[in-house]
Amino acid sequence: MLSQSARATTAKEAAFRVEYPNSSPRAVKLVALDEASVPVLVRLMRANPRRAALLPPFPSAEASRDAAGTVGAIKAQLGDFVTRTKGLIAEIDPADLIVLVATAGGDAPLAAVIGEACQARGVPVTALILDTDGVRDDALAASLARLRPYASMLVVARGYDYIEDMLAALRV
Amino acid sequence: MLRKEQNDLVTQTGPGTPMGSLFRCYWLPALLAEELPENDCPPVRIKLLSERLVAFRDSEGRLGLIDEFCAHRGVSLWFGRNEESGLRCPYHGWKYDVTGQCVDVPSEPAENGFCRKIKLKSYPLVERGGILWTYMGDLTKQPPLPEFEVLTVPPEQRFITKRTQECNWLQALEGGIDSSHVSFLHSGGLKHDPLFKGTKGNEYNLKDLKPVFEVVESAGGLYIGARRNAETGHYYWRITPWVMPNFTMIAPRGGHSVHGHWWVPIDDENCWAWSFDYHPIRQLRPDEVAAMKDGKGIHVRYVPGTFRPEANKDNDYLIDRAAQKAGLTYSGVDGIAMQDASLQESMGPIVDRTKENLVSTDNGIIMARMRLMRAAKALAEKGTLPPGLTAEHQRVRSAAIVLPADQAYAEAAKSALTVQPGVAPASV
Repeated sequence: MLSQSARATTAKEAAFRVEYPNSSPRAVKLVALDEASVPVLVRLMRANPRRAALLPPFPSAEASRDAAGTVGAIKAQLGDFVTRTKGLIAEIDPADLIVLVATAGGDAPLAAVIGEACQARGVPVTALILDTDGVRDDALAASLARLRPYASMLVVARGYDYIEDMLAALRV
Repeated sequence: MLRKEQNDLVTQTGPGTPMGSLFRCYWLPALLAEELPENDCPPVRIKLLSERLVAFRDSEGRLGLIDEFCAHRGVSLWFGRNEESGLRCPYHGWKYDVTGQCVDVPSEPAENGFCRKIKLKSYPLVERGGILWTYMGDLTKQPPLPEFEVLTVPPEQRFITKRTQECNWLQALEGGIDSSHVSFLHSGGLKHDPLFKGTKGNEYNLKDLKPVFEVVESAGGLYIGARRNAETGHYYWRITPWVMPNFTMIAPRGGHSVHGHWWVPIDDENCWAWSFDYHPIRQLRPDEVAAMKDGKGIHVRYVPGTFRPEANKDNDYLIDRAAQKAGLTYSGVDGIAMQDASLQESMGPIVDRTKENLVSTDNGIIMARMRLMRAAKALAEKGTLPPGLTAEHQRVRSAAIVLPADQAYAEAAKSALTVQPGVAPASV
């Protein structure tokens, strides 16, 4: 007589798996952590308008050139960002997962602000560091160090197209 | 999840399929060298990538891997007589050399040269590191022989086995790069298995059941780092390399040997799980080899005379619910290998990935699938050879290492993740 396992693991038996949706859609919010990541997320949202993303303003090139006021400009813009989004917490709270997207070697200026908000609300964070080709090891390490305190999964991928792959695999 | 067409793409490896073409770019482990121990020994049947073949060692010691069936009436040449530099079909005496060339058709006059018109499909078969490797692709694109470290150490420093696994190759491979299951499924093994137990790393493993993962894309595949808390300001990292398409290593534990696998499709519903142990700088001790032969570590005990595990689906993997309840094993199945295989086989011959719900910790699996699909597509559409073919990609190591909290493992452990002859593995 066949064992239970032998009987249950045939291709024929596999056809009797119960057909029903075994999960509800997950709320995943993408967050661009630097300017270079913004157009990538914009493309993703255009491809699928149901995708939610947070695209904070970043210091403009003009502000960056303003040697005397760069730090102030960044702070001002961050403050503006927090205000304009009516509170970061409100943005993060409904999410099942936050995906932070940063460019390798970039300084990901908002990593700490958003990472700490996620920690405070208990929302898990996956961080993607992308476009690594040609980036120096120490620059990559610095990017990782900024994100490591907040991410339960860090992914270092060579190209931006991995985001789309990952979202599809996670049913987002 | 994968869409159905994606699942078909990554799981089907027969002739003419995109993933089959990808596998045919690589040298694949076909047989243990000991399966063809001497000249004119009995031939061995082997199915690889959905092709039925027969291997033999002729009177001069030449190795052959040819179509299993005689070109005359389709008899299996496993019944053949291996003698006088060829394999002779016992039905009507047609004889083939190691290249598959028919060299004798007794019913035809030798002068008419009929036998020269008959040739069976054949593939090269080459011994390297105690394994007979075959290359089933375009001979003009045959890569150099594999350079994985286990193949380059002296025989006394390695132990290699293989077993059949009754499911698609990708289910097995994905277990090899899924570090997050170890703290659950194999928790008993960390405490009791003689090839794993007694290391500081195990303490970190068992104390911190919520590892944090970092997946790093490499030129030849991936590194999957699992990070657990160690002493203040430090992390314990276990780093698993995957080299395309089917090579994985397990992070070492203390002074134990290093382990790993090749996952090789037999057909779309079965695969070979090749399992190896080696130590880069010392011979394996007799007690270690005895434990491996007894099915400890990542090896198994067999149904006598076969490569089928003694615990298999026909006996419900000898599941022991009392041992499960007592905490000796987490799933009730004994042995690391069969703990994995029993669950992977329970998914069915080819798991339906349209129904799965992956989570963030599955990013290693997600990235591996995507790289396989991209490589298969690039090969099919542009003829681009896939990663993992060169020594540079194959000379990798796994590592278990404690690093300061602010260091990236891929950078800090770079030397530990590369083969350094004569240097011990990085292991805690």
